[in-house]
Amino acid sequence: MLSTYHPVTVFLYFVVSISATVLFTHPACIMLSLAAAIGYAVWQKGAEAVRFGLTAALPVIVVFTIVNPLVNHKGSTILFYIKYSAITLEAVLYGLFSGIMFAAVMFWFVSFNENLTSDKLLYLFAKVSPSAALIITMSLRLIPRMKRRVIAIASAQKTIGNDVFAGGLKVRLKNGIKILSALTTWSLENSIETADSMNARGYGRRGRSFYSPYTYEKRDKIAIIFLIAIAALIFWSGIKGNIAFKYYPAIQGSLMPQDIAPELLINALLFLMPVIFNTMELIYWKFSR
Amino acid sequence: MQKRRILAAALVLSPLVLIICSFIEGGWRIAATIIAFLSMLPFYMLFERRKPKAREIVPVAVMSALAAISRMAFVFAPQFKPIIAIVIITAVVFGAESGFLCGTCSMLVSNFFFGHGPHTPWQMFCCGLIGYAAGVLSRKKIITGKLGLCIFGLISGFIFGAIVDIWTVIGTTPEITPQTVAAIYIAGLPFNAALAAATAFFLYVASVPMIQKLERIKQKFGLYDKV
Amino acid sequence: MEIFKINNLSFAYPGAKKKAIENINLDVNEGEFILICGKSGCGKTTLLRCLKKELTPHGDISGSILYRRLPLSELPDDVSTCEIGFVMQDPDNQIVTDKVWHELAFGLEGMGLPPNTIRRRVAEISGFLGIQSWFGRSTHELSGGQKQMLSLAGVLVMQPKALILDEPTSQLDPIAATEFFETIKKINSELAITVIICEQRLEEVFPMADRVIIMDGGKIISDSAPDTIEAEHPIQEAFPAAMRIYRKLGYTGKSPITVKEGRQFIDTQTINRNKICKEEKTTLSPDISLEMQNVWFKYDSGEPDVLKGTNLTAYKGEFLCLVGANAAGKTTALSVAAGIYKPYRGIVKILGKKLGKYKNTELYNGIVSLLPQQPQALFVQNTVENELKELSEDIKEVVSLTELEGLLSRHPFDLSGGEQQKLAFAKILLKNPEIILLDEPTKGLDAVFKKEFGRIIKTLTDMGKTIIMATHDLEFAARNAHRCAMFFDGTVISHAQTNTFFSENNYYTTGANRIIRHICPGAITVEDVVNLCKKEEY
Repeated sequence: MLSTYHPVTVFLYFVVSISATVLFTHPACIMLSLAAAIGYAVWQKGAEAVRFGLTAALPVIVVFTIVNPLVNHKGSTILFYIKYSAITLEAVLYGLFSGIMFAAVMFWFVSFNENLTSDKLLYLFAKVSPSAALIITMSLRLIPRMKRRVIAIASAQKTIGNDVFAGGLKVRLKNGIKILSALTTWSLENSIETADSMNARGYGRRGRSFYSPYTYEKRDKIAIIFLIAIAALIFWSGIKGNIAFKYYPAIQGSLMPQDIAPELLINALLFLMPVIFNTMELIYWKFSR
Repeated sequence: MQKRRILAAALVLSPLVLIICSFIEGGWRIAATIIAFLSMLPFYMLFERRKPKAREIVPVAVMSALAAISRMAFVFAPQFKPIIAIVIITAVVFGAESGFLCGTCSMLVSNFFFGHGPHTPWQMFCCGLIGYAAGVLSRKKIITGKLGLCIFGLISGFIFGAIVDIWTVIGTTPEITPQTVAAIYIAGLPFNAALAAATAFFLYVASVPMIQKLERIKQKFGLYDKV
Repeated sequence: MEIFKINNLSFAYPGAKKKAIENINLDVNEGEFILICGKSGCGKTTLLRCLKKELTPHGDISGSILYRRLPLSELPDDVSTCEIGFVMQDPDNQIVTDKVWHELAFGLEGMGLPPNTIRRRVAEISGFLGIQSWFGRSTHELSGGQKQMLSLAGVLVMQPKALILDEPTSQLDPIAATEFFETIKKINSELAITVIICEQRLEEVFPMADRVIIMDGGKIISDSAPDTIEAEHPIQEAFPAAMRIYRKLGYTGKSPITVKEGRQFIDTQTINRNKICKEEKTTLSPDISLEMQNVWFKYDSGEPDVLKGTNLTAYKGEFLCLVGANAAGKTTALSVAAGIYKPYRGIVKILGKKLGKYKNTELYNGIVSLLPQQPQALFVQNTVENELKELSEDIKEVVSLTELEGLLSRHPFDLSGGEQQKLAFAKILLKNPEIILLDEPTKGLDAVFKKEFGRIIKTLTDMGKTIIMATHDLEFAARNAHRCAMFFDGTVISHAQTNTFFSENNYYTTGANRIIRHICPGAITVEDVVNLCKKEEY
């Protein structure tokens, strides 16, 4: 499973995959990425991913397909006119495929959020700015607590006549702000003790080190080398332009398998990486017993 | 030191990637994201160099959490959220750097709940910038008083929308032409206006008591913390 | 050898006329277990904070503190940070990070230790305290007791030589508190770490302590072994029941401390077995003010039921205590009775009328009020006076009842825990409710405050108000309540007048009752026991 790898590996995988998705406008590449992204999203989130697809991704595709030809009148194949402006086939297709690209990115982020949980992302962030990472860690710790407090304050205030769910909009807004204000005071006053607790345990001393429960294994090394190689190949194929696909003024690009096979293969290898690694581990595990 | 190595690698590699990206048709999408990340780096480095104390870190964490909570609490009203107002208030009391951190952290933190997307670095950068600006401008006495804050809030609400929409522009249009940009900005206008109005509104209603509360804590930290 | 040697220590907060602590002389030996008690505001916390450089408040300090013969001010930062561990009151406030593993590593990161060392130390402590199973969890998922255990672990990883604890169990329920004390005892006896602890909950720590120090007005007024305390001080109301019985009967010298010793002592006494122990305190009014009939409630449709057919009746002018384990449904029952949550089955009647028939404005204006478990939830203003005036212009009567006169200009969050509780109580009293619901108002309060709280409640019930209180504080219930009801698993499983209630319980009862129940099950307070013994002597 991807999520058991070191955060750097996981992050790099998503960076390369999403880059590969947005780099190419070739329909075959976009569809391949969408298929992979949906596959992983469903694998990890099940029915929720399907619901996400229908409520968030599908509308994006529809909107792009409709809106692009309305604002973009380039393209040579005119389908029909709306109030003297031409709706072109190229614009419709461009809208459709950039919508799909957008949807693919959204699906990639579904797996991204699932695999790179807050503590893993913070591990990475701490490499850039340890203090900011600590602030985020503390915020994440405070949020559930504040949520509980909002409920406590709202019910307490309700019983003394400051109800956020009753009265006119103005009264409710006033009471809402009262709750926010009470929450601010309460949380800030308590923060003094939190700062004490940090100081008592040596915060602010020079030479703070950094601990994480993640270990960098040999398989991470292999995966990272694999990813860098793939990324290089992808950039190289991008520069070479075999797979370039132009929509305007007329569609220009090859859909012939023999022209785009190597590029698609590279992308497929990238998208299938977790499956390949997983299968290899599974086989190894079976045989080692 | 490991951190330095990573930083150096990032600084060398990023321009390289940017150059490569410029040769590929879809490359500017990646390039833009890298630029959003890179533009935050100097701010973080400045903050890190100062060796921040617990009393600087803790209030920012509380305010970031509060900003994130406020974004969730108003989930029923799209864009009508006090998050930027809270960032501005924090910046006014605790200074530009704290404002920047509060802005970036609250966006990142709330996206842990809303889900990350390609817009995350843009939102972080933009909200951080607003916090930074609020801190600088209020220290230089350019924005003073409730009215000044509200005007600043109104403007920054629009700026936030405008910068975050850049991502939509580069993410969706093949060639950036005045028409496409205008179309996207006009489509986004109601949302951005709501955000700007919300920011100004919350600053109008809550800025005075909130600033009082923060000042009190600042004072208390001064008392309890030996310098 | 002394680990701490305190000479003539005085401390005054900036701008304060009176010193917070004055002329403290104290030697703490290596490996000792020292208990400091005193009512809130007596200077205990200030003294403890002076022992840890990082936490010493701003102000005028004089005298000297030596840590292992070295003045505290000359102690290297690293030594002070690691060797002197400090655990604070509120487990929630001292947890910094969102993951358990990170919280454990936090202090060690601060010391700049390499990851492998951190890993080993964290593993060691997790094993010692038996907390390895929560290692990967988020800190907010932990219970209060677990959070405090985590704070303790986060300090122990630093390998302290001395452990200072400032009322560590004040926010915990009795079971969690006992567990915490057991751990402290283990740390003291198995690791020889010096323990200096402040507490209000004394029954369990007393037998563990080598020395008990009583503070009052910033001074040490008594310093002796726990069983030889002679000093007279209001705080002794919180001492273990056996000690109080022993002293109140006029004995001096080594006193019994535990229930076991207390029982051995009581068996040497002659007690009038013929005296009727069961005497009920009051006759109840026949008017029902609150009634819950077969009430079912859950917080969310997918979640388990919290109230499972609760039946509860409260009469006009009575003080009813709801007792029972954590998460048995006491707090939820109060919230339902206050109309904050609506039951999905069953009836709640208030003053004979169904709860649903009341408008909120009517209900919360003179009918029902709820004092939440965290009084801070009620505070929205910046002074005590504004806090009260928010609800009513005429605050005089309530202020004098709750004795808040001297505090009117203070910020609500600058008050002590007990004062905050009183302010919150005053706030709901301004609504002049007929039925007052209290959720653990005596949590973390000292004996003096509790006594005052009991007095306020008595005044109110005498006025004909009905008071229902959820509590873990059996001593308080035994002393003040008219009736008690026991919650278990979402229902009331037994209820009776207080004396009968406790005499029928075998395990869930007061210390005094445990000492004497084999002779006279109806005696539930220290005073009851003392009376029984004295009567015979006449």
